[in-house]
Amino acid sequence: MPKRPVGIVSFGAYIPRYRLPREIISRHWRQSGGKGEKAVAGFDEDSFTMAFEAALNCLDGFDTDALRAEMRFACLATTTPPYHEKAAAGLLATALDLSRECRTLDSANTLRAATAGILAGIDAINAGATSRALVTAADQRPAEPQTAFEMSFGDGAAAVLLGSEECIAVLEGHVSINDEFLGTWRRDVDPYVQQFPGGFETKFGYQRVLMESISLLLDRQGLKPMDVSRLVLYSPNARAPQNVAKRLEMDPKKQIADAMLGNVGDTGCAQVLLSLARVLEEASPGDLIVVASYGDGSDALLFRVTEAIEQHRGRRGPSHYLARRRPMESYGRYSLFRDLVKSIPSPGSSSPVVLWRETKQYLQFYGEKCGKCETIQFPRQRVCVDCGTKDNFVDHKLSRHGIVHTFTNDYLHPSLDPPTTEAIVNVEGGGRVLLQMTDAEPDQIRVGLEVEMVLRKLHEGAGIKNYFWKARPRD
Amino acid sequence: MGDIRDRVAVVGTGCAKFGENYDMSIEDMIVAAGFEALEDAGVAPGDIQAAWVGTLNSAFSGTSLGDALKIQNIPITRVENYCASGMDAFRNACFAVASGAYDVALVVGFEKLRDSGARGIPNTRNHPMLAWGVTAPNLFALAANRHFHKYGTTKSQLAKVAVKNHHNGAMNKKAHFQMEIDEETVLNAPLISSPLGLFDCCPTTDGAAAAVICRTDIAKSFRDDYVLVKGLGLAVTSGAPYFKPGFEYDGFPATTLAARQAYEQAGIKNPLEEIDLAETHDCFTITEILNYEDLLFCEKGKGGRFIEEGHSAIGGKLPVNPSGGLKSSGHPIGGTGVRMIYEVTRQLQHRVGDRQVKDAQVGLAHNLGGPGAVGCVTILGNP
Repeated sequence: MPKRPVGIVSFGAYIPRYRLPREIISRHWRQSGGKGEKAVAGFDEDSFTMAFEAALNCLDGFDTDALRAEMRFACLATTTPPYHEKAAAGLLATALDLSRECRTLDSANTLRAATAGILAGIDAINAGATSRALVTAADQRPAEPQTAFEMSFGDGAAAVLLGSEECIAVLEGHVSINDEFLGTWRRDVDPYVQQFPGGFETKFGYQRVLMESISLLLDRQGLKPMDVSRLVLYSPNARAPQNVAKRLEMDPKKQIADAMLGNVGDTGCAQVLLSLARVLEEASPGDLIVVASYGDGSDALLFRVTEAIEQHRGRRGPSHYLARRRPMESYGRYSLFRDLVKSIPSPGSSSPVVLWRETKQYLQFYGEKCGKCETIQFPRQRVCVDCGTKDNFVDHKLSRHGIVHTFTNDYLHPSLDPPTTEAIVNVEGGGRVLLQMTDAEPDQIRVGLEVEMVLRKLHEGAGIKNYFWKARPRD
Repeated sequence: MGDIRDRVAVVGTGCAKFGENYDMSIEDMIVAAGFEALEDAGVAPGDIQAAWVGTLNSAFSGTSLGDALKIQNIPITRVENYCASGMDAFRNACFAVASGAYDVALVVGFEKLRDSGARGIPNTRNHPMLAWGVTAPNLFALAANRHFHKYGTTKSQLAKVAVKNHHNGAMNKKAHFQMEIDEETVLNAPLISSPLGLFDCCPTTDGAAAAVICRTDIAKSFRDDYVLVKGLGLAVTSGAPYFKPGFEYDGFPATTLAARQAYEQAGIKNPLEEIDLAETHDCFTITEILNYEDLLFCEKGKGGRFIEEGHSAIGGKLPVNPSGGLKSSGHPIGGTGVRMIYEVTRQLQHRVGDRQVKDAQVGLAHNLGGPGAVGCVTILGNP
């Protein structure tokens, strides 16, 4: 029996609004130059929240009940998880309201984590363990001030939904190379990513291992280098991938995909997925795409784009976010966001007990609907706020869209990004919530403003990540 | 339901100097206010049969009052009802005296805010998520922006409340501020919670106030110019109005509900005509404008006009906050409600000097707690 084709069914991306012009970094260190800008996660974002928004974009338009029934594999790939011990993919699956039987996988500790996650997802589908697999990748790698990493590292996330039906890109083949190499690393005690200085890694790590994996893949698939439409190649800098392409006898200008180093930065393990999403936004049926990741070896994957790509345009991919920027005006704000200076301590308190008891209303945004008067209410309570009926409710998941009823920009509450905007939001389809706003200029906020809800890190009271919804002006 | 009207009399009042009382402890302030009230009534601590004390979170239990004044071995109840703690303590004491259980009772309200360096009111209870990070000014700024949007109320109208209350407070030696300000100063002040700037907000204040009350039939044995309790209203609405579907957020129904109770008890049909002065809860300038409407001094939406046309100034149709209000007198949370009783009583006794409202016979005091959730209204009148 011939093997069913398995591949990518959908994709999504996320890039934080804040963009720090590199010129600001170089000026701060009294150096010259610095081209382009890099995406910087807001003070309320982390790898989980970024992966979550990419996942929402990836799953947009799919039947959520069907996904809950079918999806038994969810992966979050990152080198910068919110917790070192506690599942990030578990948070992701919970917030996405997936089945409790969904298997979750944190793919971590290497820039190869995203492709490792994809291959694990493909294996799970081929083994019949699930019909669909969600793989997300996000990173916000810590860069030492005044280094090349500080200029190059950016933050972002991407997601792919894998499956065997209605693939927009079928996986034709793949190879994985394991290669023990000490070029770039970060121990637990290291505040920043470390790298052995000089050209050692570029020549003997990066170049050598990528040529090995890509050549082997093409060889096994019976392809010549020029047959590849797009080469998505992990790029630590602009020059390194060009040398690889030249040595492979490929055309760097025509074939190498945009890694978005100039306008987003090196997004770590998310980079190849984000770049793949950018390629898929403009791909044509029949295109052959090679995705080659790097990190302690390399995974190389060959995808063939299908006709289904034509029905898949218009979702929020990289281009959506590239067009929505909020220039970061100072190195000072960047250094606060990245914990480079002693910042205002989080004034919050929290309780893991409360978060456990009320998970449904925080991560999943469930309110409830009164069985008698049908009033939709949040937070969840025992007695209806409107008619006083006791314990007669059905779960009601609040819409992620709403309209500002009233608001205030607060300068009193300590924040790394003042003012704190508090908004009362009338939720589309019912419900009334008080939420902080994010990704908005204070003078943008007004009564009647349309907003969309995003999951963010509200604070770190009690030494834990307290994730809750915020409102953002609707894109 | 029984009638509270004319059954309880206020026979003594006292108030510690309000302000940043770095040189005073809670004990010092309670002693200052408490003994002033006892002396004003001509009674000794041993004459007090029961006491009520209102504080948000400066101390616990009745011992805070008993230990300071050394009134011990009698019933003392601590009342907490957000910023209305003080007036609710007074209300509970009145009902106890009206019941006949006690002849003479003492009420004290106090708060010590400046011993810690907190910005605004210290948070006592923080939910990890719901309304996390919300500050006191936020709760009222939300109403301000809604009111601006719906009725065209302006920052200039808000500023006029601050100017008026600072003007009045300058005549009150016990006020936190004795300082006139102009509208420009208010409008140019740094933003705290848009649209509210620094001068739209009351200060955080240390203070205490006290009142001695008794059964009306024995009031004359204490003094001739006693003042009668005409009505006592209290309404508690949702403590989370920002999550309440359909809540308009252009005013606080708790105020109106409490006012209607008190007006009915006092037999007041037309508050604007029948009340001679009001001490209302102007924690923020917008709150005073909402109070005009919620206390039914004017129609909903017309509060901005009410201040603009001068009706609430001393000499106007219904002087509001002749003491300077929370804005100028300051707001020691549990102390405020009792301080209002002190002010209205002394206004009705014509004892307040330059800020005296002419021919004052009936006065209203209004305390508002939490996010507009606890409305407390007291009507006092001369016999």
